[in-house]
Amino acid sequence: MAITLDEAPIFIGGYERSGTTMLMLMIGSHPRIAVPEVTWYYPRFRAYLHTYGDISKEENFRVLLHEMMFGLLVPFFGIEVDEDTILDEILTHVPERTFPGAFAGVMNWFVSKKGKPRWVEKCPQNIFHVASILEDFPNAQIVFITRDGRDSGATYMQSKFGPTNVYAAAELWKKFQVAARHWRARLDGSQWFDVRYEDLVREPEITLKRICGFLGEDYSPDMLGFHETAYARNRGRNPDHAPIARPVTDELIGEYKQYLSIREQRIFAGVAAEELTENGYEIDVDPIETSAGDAALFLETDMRTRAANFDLMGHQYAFSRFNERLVERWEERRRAGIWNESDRPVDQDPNARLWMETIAEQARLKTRFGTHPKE
Amino acid sequence: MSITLDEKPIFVLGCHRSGTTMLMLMIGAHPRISVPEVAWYYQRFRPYLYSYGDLNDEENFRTLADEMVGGLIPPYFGMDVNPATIVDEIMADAKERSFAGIFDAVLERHAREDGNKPRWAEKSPNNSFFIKQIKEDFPNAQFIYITRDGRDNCAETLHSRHGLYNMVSAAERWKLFLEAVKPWRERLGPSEWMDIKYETLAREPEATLRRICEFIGEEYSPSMLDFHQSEVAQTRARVVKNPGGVSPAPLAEPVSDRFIGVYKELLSVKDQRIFAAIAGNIQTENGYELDYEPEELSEEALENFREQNGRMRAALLRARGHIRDSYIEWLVDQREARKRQGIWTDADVPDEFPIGDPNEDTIMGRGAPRKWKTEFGIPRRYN
Repeated sequence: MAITLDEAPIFIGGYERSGTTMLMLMIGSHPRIAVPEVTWYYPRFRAYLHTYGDISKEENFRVLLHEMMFGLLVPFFGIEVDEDTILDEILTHVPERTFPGAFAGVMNWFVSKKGKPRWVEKCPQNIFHVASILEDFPNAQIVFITRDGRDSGATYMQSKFGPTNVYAAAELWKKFQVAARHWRARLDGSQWFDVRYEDLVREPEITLKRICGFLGEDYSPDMLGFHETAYARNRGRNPDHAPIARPVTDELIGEYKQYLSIREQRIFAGVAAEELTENGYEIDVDPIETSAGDAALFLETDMRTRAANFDLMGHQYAFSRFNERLVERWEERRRAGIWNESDRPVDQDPNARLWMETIAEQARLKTRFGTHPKE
Repeated sequence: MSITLDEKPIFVLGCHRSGTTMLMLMIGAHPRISVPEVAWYYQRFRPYLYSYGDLNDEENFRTLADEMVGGLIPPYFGMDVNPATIVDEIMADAKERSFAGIFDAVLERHAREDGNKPRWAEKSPNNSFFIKQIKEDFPNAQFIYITRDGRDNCAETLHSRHGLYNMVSAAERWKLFLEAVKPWRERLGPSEWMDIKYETLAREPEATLRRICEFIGEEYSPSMLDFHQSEVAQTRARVVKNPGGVSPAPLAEPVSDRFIGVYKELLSVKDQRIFAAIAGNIQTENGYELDYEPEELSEEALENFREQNGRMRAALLRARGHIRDSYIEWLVDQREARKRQGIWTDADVPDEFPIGDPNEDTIMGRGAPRKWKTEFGIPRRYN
């Protein structure tokens, strides 16, 4: 079940706080390319298709499509729709009753509304789903953005939704880089493109021209106006995303030196020295190895801390709640006999489930602590 | 009610992570002075004496003695005692039917078991908040307060398994201690109060210990420098730190100045700015420096940090290696039980510090704020 589109689809991946949103808005500001708000479609749905039963059946397919359309961060990507008929409208854009069919249907509908021929989709976790993306869209082009993990990790730790200690931040960054290394070695220059955040902010035009060369598009200066889009202005109101509403700047390079202690920098280097070095980031501290016991404690502490602080002012209620509902719905469908344990895909990359499993674990802890938002 | 001992009792004070344990062990390594493990007696019992009823009543006095003797770590301070009779023995030894009577009897018992030493000293960091009560109970007490650079202190607090979870809370605690002792520093004379700095003690241990001995009226003994060989030091050194913290535990090593300035490794620039904002004045007042300008923090941001710390203390109570303040909870339950028995009523609760103080949880040394333990449904499990 593969869909080959005339306009090759573009997928962006990269560790959070690496400039993934800036890059998606730059590409989405190109006159020929449209980008919707992050859908999380691959981590949310692709890894759990078995829970929908046979989706070639209309009924099951509609359940999938409903969950895809009614759990978006910005409802219907900010497009005015009739909620009663939106699924039928999307269905007219769906080429086949498969996951890529549903994905392409939503994207095709979206670009038709935007009057552009081509789409790009960004989700940080896409990097853990490249095998599925290529299976679904054989002519997909992947753009992977890398930023110094210490900068990404430090700002991720400062955000309301990130890891709460340096070990957890470093371990996750490493996973992204290891996955990228795998695909970099296997995909050729027509399908894989590496962008370094630092290059993009220091030399935005040159870097965007290179990206356009990869995508087979003419460069457009519109791409540098990304921060003036309604989308950027909206996101920029959230303190965690404030820089997105400003022109590109290189001032955030090296910000980790403010936020990470030397000890934290050493722990980070101990986890990801190889990945830092291979991506051209210098290590100026002595790395410290974290023992297995300490690593487990760091990770447990991170999970408890996140759950405990969940309903502290400013945390992301609705978004997390929707993800948790998805977890509940897998279970509801299992109880309804739509799937059973033997349907779970074998040989699935465990990282493909990382995101939702973290959410499920968080949901358990939040239930225990009673920090779920009161409804 | 007060007890004046021929051998003046010594109270070692200071904020957690300031070298208070090292100092207590040094003093306890003196041939004439015995120091047991931390007793936590003042914060656990002294504000709640109303809940035991009239201590002249044998049964009430026994309840208090039983709770004070029963919650020690290690059990009975590691003394070789008969659990069936130790409470009776302590009650019989008490010089008066009071909290101080039991306090002194336990400490004297420990001193006897510890090679028949004639004098005792006690260290519980939170005694820094109970100087008034200590003076009432032991009028000829001598106090030694140890201060450490607030940045190092907070750095270690943030990396300790019984510590705090953000710089706002760590700096506020350090500041709270110094503010609590400030009036006493001025009020008490040089025969009653002595200030020492951790850094001086670590850099010039012998000279500093000689000054301490002069203050307490003892001859200096080189054995004080062998504190790290004591059983308490060896046991304490096995306590694991939070990952990423200072290790290995230094108590099992001779005194060293290598922990001066640990903040440079352990604190981010941002945290140093936050420290300066919260405790910068106290830091410079105590003769320490600041490397960075203070961070600007809104009242809302401060509240957020405080709340986050409270939540984390509760949420991490059961994580491996973290504290479980079960004995304190058990004492609370006993108190409530006595209320149901009619031993006390709300009218007996004195309206005095530290009950109801905004910093009550810190002063009482609770592992986690009651509010968040209740909110998170953290079960009580005595052990």
